[in-house]
Formats: sequence, structure tokens, C-alpha cells
Amino acid sequence: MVGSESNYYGVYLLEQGANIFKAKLDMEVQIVDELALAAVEKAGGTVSTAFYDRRSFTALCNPVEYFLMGKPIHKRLLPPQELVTYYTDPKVRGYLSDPAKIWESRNELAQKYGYELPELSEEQKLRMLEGKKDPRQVFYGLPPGSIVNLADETVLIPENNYFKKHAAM
Amino acid sequence: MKVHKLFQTYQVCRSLMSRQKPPLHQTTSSYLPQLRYNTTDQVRYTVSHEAYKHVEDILPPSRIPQPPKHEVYPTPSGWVAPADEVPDLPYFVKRTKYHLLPIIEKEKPKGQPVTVVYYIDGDIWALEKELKDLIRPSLEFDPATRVHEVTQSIILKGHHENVIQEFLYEKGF
Repeated sequence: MVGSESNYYGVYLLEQGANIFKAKLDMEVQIVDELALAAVEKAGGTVSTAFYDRRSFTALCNPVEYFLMGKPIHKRLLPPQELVTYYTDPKVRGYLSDPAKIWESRNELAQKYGYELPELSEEQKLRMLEGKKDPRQVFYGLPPGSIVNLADETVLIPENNYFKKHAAM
Repeated sequence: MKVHKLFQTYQVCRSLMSRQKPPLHQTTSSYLPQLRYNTTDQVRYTVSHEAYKHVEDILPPSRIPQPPKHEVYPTPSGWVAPADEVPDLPYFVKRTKYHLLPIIEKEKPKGQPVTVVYYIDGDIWALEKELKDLIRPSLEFDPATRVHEVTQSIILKGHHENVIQEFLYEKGF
């Protein structure tokens, strides 16, 4: 994983160790190698690639520091023009791609590398169709525009119309 | 000249005193986004405890947790849990706070490879003798080791982490 200081920040799932990989994991990374994708799906897991702008990535790396700033949660940016083709590609399981095409490419990958696709649980299937997080959401379950109060263990969600319009996902 | 300067300062003071400042309740807080329209209605918000559960999921733990009990050792990554009973040996090697063996491979200046085994209690010299015999078959020359009693560590010349790890796992440390 490369930190947010570099131009190439994010998690890159490499194919090193694909021959001994057995864990069943559902993960979300930024870039993924084809063989790594096959290794994870063969073990019964799912992978999806998502874009996070530098600010969102830093917020996710250290959420406590971000919440302590006391600012309303910002909206995650959409990928720049150069990366749109990557994240709309079902072969890489991009988060902006068609879920039906992801299903097709799963079968194609299994055929290419010669393994049987294991059954996915209902939760995993739902997540593949709907996506866990909205493309404009940084933290799951926390709408943009809300403020997290760590001391009182609450979340302040604004009601005014202009906030809702600004934070609309 | 003096009168002119006095008059200038008097003018400056008068302009400062009469400068229009906005009343306090209308100042915009720094965190609000730059709004194009002016609103004076109060910000209405709800306090949600349910949404905080999603925050708790992301907060990092403050302490390093105990590893779960596995059925088979070594685990897929090669880790072995320490034995339940203390091994009956003249020395004892404690695990690090991350539950790993205290072995480090370093490179000294000019690229000299070095292995350090630390957190050693009891008779360090006995362990040093055993480690010397352990690494002797893989070396061309006599094994070079150094015992540092103050830091409770043994420094060995060369990279021998794998061999020492296997040895210590077998002993039950």
C-alpha cells in the first residue's frame, strides 16, 4: 500500500502469493492484478475497485484525526477522466461498472484460469448488485454533511434543505 | 509640519472608530461552505446514536488484541502460537507485543548482515551456545556471535532468521 503523500496512493493488490492464497475475503482496493482477482474469487471472496481522492484516502487512513477536525464530512470525488475507463470496466470489478457484466466476467475469469466458481452468500450477492458504499460517500453509513461527535458518541445530521441539497449523493 | 501630522493621525483614528463592523450574530462560521445565498435561519440537526455504530466500526482498537485460537499450527502465514506451559530450559525468550518472535534481521553500515535475538531472560550464554551450533552447518567460517547482557540480546553475524525461528518455535517459545 502506498501512502497518501505519493502521487500513486492507494492499495494495489498484487499477484504475489496467488498459489498459496486460501482466505475467503471481501475487499475493496484501488487497483487489482488479474491473477490476484482470480485467486480471491477462487477462494470464495469478492473484490471491487473504487476510487478515493487524496483527501478521502487520508480521511480513511486516519478517521480519528479527521473526525477531531470537527468539519462536516465531505463528498468523495468521482475519478478523473483518465481513470473513468478503469473504474467502469467490469473486468477489474470497478465500482462504477454494470453489476450484470461483473457476473459475466467472473465466469469468464474462472474459465480462463480453470477453476470452479464457488457459491457466494446472499450478503455478498447483494453487495455486488447494490454496492456497499455510495460512490460519493467516504465512510459507510455516514452521509456527507454530517459531523461526528466523538466525545458524546453521536453523529449530528443536518436537516436544513440547503445542506441536504449540498450533500445530496 | 507637526500640526499636519497630528491632523493625519486624528483622521486615521476617526476612520478606525467609525468603521462599520457586522453584528456578531451574522458572522459566518469558518466550517460552513461558501453559500451564495444569505440565510439567517438556525441550523436544524438531529442527534443520531444509531449512525455512531458505523463510526465505532472504523475506529482503530486502542490495544493489540490476543490472537484467536487456531486448530492447526502453523497458520497459513507460518505463525505458531507459544506453548501453554513454560519450557523447562535455563533461558526464556519472550514474545513481542505483536505476538511474534523477537528476531530482527538488520544491515550494519557497509552492508554487513546481522541477526538480533532479544528479550532473552535467564542463562543467555546457554542459548548463545545452542544458536552457534544451529548456524554452524550453513557457514563456511566459525559462527560469530556477541552477547549483550544489558539489552538481553544475542547478535549473530549473517541472516539466520528462518533457522532461529524454526528452532524457537520447536522449543515452545
